[in-house]
Amino acid sequence: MIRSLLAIVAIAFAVAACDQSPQAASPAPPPAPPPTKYWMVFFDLNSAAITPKGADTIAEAANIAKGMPNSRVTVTGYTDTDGPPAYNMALSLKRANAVKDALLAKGVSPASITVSGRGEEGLLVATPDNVKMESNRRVQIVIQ
Amino acid sequence: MLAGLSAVAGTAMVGAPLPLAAQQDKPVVGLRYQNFKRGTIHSLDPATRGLVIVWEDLGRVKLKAADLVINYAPGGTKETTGLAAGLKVGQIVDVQWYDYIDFLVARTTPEISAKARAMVASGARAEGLPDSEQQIRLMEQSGMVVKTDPTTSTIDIVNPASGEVLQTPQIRTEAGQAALRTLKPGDPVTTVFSIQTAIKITVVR
Repeated sequence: MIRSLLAIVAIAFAVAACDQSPQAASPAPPPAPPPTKYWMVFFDLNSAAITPKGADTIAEAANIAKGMPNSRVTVTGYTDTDGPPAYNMALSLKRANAVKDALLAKGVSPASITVSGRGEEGLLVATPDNVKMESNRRVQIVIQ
Repeated sequence: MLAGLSAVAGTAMVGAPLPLAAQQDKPVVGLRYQNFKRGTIHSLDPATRGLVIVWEDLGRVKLKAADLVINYAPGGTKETTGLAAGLKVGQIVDVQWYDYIDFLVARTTPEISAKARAMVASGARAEGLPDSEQQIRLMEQSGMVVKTDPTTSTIDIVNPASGEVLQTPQIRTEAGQAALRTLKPGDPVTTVFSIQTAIKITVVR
């Protein structure tokens, strides 16, 4: 009986030792995280019209989005601090929707796009109130 | 002066152009930025001499094979056995390589832009390696600073032409880090980095 138990224990140790072989000790590297790419589309003062340069940016983003399976596209509009905050909130959403429409026109799936406007929040370049700043008049397109 | 700057592989410029003699010198990738690692070849791109290696501990990394990697393509000379068979996907290899290194991090001025273009045109050479005059390629990333991240020592830069925002590789030199601390969103910036470059690849099996 004792011999049988010792044999079982010995086999168990042998199996455990096999599990610690060099091959098992080097696990595969973790999978790469899904790539995130982002773009910025800039706007003229008090405008949600997409410039030719902005259209090129959107076209490039659309191509990437269409080439990535199950991509999620986040479109966020911003303004500078010129004008009333409530007006700017609406303007930022209008800009974001203009970019969304352009992405749709380029063939990006509507279900993959999320749109929001943040108005004067999230300034790229910090400024006081009522400052015209082109860098802040933008829409950010993030593709994951 | 340039020898000192290039040896540390980083030049944080504040707008003053370098002397002409210094501008003509080639940047040098210092020996301390050299790495040795074992990994598996995940993919190859012969058109660009690119390869992706999966390291045993660090995941995958994309590299360019310098001309010094004579066994990259079939037919290259191999010291021990004559002609090399060429690298293949799935091979386990020991790689001697250089990581990204910042050579220039500076607010954009006409002088800085010209210097960046000259650096990219000349390429870098690897310290201590004979016959490696143009073996390490340099790339420029310029545009407007969107974000600086002191914890990762990187800058997000929006490309003015494409609107795409790209993150720089990690800024590793002291000069580059000093320049990073002076930058803020909205600033125009010019950076020059060396590309991750393999200089020797030995097939293990």
